[in-house]
Amino acid sequence: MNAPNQIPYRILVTKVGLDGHDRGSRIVAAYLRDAGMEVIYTPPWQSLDAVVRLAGDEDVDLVGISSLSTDHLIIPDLMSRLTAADLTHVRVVVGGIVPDEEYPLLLESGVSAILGPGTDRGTIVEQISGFAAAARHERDTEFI
Amino acid sequence: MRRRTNPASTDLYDQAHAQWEKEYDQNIHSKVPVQNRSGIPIQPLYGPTRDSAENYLEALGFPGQVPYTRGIYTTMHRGKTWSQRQLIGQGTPDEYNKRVLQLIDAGTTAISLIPCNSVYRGNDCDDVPLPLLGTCGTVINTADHMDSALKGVDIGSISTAMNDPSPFTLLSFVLNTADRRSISWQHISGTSNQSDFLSHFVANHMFFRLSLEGARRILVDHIAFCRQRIPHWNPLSVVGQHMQQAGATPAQAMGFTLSSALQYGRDCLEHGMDPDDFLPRFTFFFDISMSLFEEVAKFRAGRRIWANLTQNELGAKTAHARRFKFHGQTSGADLTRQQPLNNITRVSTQAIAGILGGLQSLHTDAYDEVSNVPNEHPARIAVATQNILREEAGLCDVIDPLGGSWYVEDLTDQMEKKILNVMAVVENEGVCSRPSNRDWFSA
Repeated sequence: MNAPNQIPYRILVTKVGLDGHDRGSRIVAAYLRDAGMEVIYTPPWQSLDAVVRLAGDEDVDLVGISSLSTDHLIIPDLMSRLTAADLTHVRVVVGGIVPDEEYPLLLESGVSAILGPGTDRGTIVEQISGFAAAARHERDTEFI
Repeated sequence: MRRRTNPASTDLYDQAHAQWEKEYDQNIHSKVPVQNRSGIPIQPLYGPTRDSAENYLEALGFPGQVPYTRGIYTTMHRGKTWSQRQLIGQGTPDEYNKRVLQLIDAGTTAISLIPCNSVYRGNDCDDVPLPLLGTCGTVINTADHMDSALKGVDIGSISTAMNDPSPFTLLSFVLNTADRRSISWQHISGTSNQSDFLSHFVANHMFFRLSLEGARRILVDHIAFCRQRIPHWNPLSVVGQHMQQAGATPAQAMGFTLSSALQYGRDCLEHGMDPDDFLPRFTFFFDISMSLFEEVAKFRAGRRIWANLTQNELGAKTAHARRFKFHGQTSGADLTRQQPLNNITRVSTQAIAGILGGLQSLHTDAYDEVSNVPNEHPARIAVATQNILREEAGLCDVIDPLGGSWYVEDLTDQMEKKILNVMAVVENEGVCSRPSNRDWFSA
């Protein structure tokens, strides 16, 4: 999905909080890898600080977080920590089970999109590369 | 239709069959081969296969007789219907208590408790982000919490399943609650759900934070303690549900589960326990997908294999020790978030498959599980689904009603072969006994 001669988008695929259901994150990581992106994959149970540190150290364009129980509830906190770490250009996309009434909580905190059950592979790749492109652009213009 | 040896075979029979086959080929629009989730080709029609009662006893037997293919109890659901055991757990102990009393009121006959993920992971509740506490299970950190959660629940008569991979923490709280209420441990019944650490390591990843070797030793100690002190407690539930939900086919899930159970049985033998004492307390927990006939065949084949394994591999002498008792849960992975009410139909179909498959206990998913932890109304519908199937559909009238169906008997044989093939690989590779090899069935 990258333009020719472009450095592939770098995506961190992870899970925060306490849940260990990692099938979704593994599948999405494979989708993104197969689409030509560079995927940094972690096991579940990452602390928010670990995610922020990884996002910075690995110079990622986007953090994809899979949440299947209720771990999405701490994502607003993650958004603040990313901002505090001066990683405002990094986009965050959430996948998995988020109750309808909690979509605003995430979107208003700065999450770019929530990709729920039934989202097909093409849409996932398209959305992620779109947001990653925006993040890359923002990062590059910031440095100019 | 597959041609097989048939005593009734006559010229007329062959003629009629050939005519059907010809007309079928002429009239069928799609020539795309059909196969089930386990990869078994499915024919459009099945005919007589078992030539007489000759191998009936060996392959099927009567209900309550080995190999239990037709059911582990003499009367099955006609005598005692399955337990309605809905998995629940959310919020504080008091909130859990309110929900459990509602479910008992709605007709549920056995309860379960899902603890907060912090308990699951062995975290102190002070160590985890506050917004997560109690959002995906009940916060049960002390015996007081358990006492409140079970207020008004007669734990001396109702069976309680504790989802606890540790696997003894919640049980110890239950026993303490029993002591406070002067209820003898002799009357405490239920199951340590999720005590099958192998399934967590390979598929579910909700395990307690122990090494594989440590978990293995603790499980054996736990089984030994329960056998000595809590006679009606099932210390082990071997879980195929995790693997099937994580992508295993029904045949693979059954094969992995039986292999794990065999490993646990061997560990108990090594510990000096008597198979006729511990095996009757082994239980199983399976996913029930939308593939109705395949699921029925999976359970029938599972019973037959386990009856043979317990005798041949674990040295069980009593018939009782060779019973394959299982809880079934309808498949969350088969539900859709779009048009969620359709999930009620899916859950009903899956529940029917489990009931026809001869389960002992059933959880029906709420239709909103694709969006959130179930709300009260969908949870009530899930319980009502079981009530309707039990009371109105006549599903309990006949034992193993699909037994003798040419298709189901054939499929049972084929599923058995598939499962045994999976188990042979697991055995050869030492997947269950050597942790480094677990990736072979890792999801």
